[in-house]
Amino acid sequence: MVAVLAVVALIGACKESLDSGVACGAAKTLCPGQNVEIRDTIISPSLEFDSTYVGFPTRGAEFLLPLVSVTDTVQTVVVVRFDSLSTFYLPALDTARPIIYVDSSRIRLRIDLTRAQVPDSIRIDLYDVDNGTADDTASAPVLARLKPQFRIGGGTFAKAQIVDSLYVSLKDSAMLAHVRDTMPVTRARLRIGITVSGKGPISFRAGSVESGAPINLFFRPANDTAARALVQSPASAGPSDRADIRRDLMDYMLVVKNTLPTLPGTMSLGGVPGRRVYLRFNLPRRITDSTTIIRATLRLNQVSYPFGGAGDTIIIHPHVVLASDNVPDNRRASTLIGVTGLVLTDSMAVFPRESGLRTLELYPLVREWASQAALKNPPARAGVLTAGNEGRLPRIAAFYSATASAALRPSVRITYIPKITFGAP
Amino acid sequence: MRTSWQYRLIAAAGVCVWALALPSAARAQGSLGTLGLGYPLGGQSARSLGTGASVADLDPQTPINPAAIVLNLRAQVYGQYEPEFRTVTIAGVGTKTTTSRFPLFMLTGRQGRATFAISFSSFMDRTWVNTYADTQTVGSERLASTVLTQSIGGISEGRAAMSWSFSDNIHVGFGLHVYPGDNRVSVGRIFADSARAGNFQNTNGYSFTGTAISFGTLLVPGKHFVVASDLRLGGSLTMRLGDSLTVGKGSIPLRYGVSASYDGIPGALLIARFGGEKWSDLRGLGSSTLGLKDGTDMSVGTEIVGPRISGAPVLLRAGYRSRGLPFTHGSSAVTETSSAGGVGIPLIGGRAVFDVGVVHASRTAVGIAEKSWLISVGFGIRP
Repeated sequence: MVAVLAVVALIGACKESLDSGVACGAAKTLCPGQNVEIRDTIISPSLEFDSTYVGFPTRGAEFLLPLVSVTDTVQTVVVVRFDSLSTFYLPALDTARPIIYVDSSRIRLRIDLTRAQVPDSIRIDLYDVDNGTADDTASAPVLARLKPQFRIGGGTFAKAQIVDSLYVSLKDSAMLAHVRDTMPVTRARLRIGITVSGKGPISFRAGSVESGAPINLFFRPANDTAARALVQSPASAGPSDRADIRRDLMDYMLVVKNTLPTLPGTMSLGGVPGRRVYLRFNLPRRITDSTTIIRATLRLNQVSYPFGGAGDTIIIHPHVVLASDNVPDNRRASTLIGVTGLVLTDSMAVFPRESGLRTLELYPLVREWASQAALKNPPARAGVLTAGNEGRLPRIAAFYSATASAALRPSVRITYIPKITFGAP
Repeated sequence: MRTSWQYRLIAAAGVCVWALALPSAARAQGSLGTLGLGYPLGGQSARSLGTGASVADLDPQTPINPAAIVLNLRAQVYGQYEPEFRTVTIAGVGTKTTTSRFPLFMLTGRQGRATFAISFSSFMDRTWVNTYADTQTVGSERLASTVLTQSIGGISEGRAAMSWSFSDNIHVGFGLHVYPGDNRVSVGRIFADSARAGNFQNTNGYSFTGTAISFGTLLVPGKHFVVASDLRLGGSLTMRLGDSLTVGKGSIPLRYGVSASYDGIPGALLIARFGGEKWSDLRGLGSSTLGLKDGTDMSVGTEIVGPRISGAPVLLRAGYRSRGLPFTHGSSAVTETSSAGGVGIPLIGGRAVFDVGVVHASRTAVGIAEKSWLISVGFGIRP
């Protein structure tokens, strides 16, 4: 009986109900000891240092390959390697035959027009950028071949033609020469450099191996209308000892020209090649490690950057740095970061030509620092700012760096609850 | 060799102890009753509550008068469950809350002229939950949020008591009291926009340790009169943050009380009690602004013999009580008046008793009214 009573009592305890109450809201004297002090402070300087690093994504890791041409300012070239060209074809109901004739040679670009700039007409040039050396990973020899004598195709296209897929013609003679090339190094390989030009800024992107929509090469291998076109996918034969680099070199982007200014006393992000900012924070540990952080706002003063249209925007994402202080190379550390949205969920959109105070919420990161304080090798108290579509858009946002004057340099506004005694009546 | 009945008794006692040891899962919120260090339950049994606490000094299940345990006559185990349903009204807006407690457990045994008892009861219960919408300035913005505050626990009272019967008419008792306590207070806030501000919940745990001794008498001066009295002398009561940092030091309040009963009317017992507690002895615990008020406790009640079950009488109870609560609301004293009723049902030929007490209390302070229904269910076995 007692046991039954106790069980009934416990069940009763589990079924307590609480109406949404107003007692404390209406009369806080009924709930003494429940109010906690919230403090607010702006910490400046808040950075130990900041660094702007250029070259993101790394060569060959581009998800989309930017084709950019802004007169006298920015010019890119997309390089795609076909190092395993077919030298035989298979006629219908027949045995394989060597290719001694080609026609209808062309490449197909899968185009991404997000935030694209396309004038009424554009010119696309294809260059033979194969300098004939084995395991060539250098950029300079490629850039040196962007000359008229190495042009092997291209055309002029109206804006209406620049849609999701675009075929660009290739000289059949050049195609056949590469198919029939028997030299030990350059045998059956074709490396193409693709540039765009036109009246006005041009910026759009082509699909890559990484995106699953690579640039493909097509040609018909016989003077027979019944012969079906061969399709060649990107492939890189060199360097022979590095499979990872071989994969990167299937297709990649190089900057031919970039004369955009670097503003002194600033840090910048965005652009082509992509820039990102590494921020090493120096916030008082008595606050970050010993209090409850409610809000931590990174305050950046934007500098007007003299490039791009008035309506251009850059989305800026903060990232947590996963590398500890055991990675002294901060450029490398700026690649060892969390994905967008990991811990830090805030972002901001800025117009590059505007200026003024911009803010990013970092409280989850600052809270992480406190919880990581006891780790043997905690991640560095740092963050990285990247531009959305990093390395794909020629837009740059600049902010005053830690070396600027006190009024302009980055600061952090922290709202926190100090460790206090509360709850006592 | 234990009988199966004894095994069941031990098991039941274990369940009750376990239930008492649990953190109270109760929910309540800001109320007059739970101001300060909490609501002073006083260890009243269901029987005592049914008489408006008038029988407190005469009731063996109420651990106030150590001499009263002699009235148990034989070994007994007793446990109690006690939910409370409150309505707090502020400016015409009422809020209903529920608090659940296991406030009392007692074991009693007898050897010759000596009676012994150990009990565990709730001295002060500070359990509540508050949830309300609020706007908080964070940085340069005012953000909508929901405040979550919670207090769980309180101060318990353990007593070891012995009474000695000099004769059938003179009994004295002595009690040693310890006051362990644990109170976890949480304050949290959930922001509507979690991208701008981080939710938080901070918890502070307070522990209490205290001691006291008590004395009691139970006298039968006349054929129909019984007079009982109790006196508790408080030792220190220390409040710590966590298990180390002392944040307050006071004393267990001095308590005194006298109950007198008259059973000259056949089938009826008339009881009155006057007592008081010097709550100001708690000064030193909590903040300097904690308002304390010494209180008196007056009650009258009756216990009437009703119909019989298996030859044992059912007891019907009623009572009225008026007392001052220890903690003020601002500078305003909080008083509690209550009317009560109850029933005691004998079971197994009187070897077990099932007590139910119902108390309707009214607590008032300036601008705030609180009504409460407290239902106390006690069960005792005399194996």
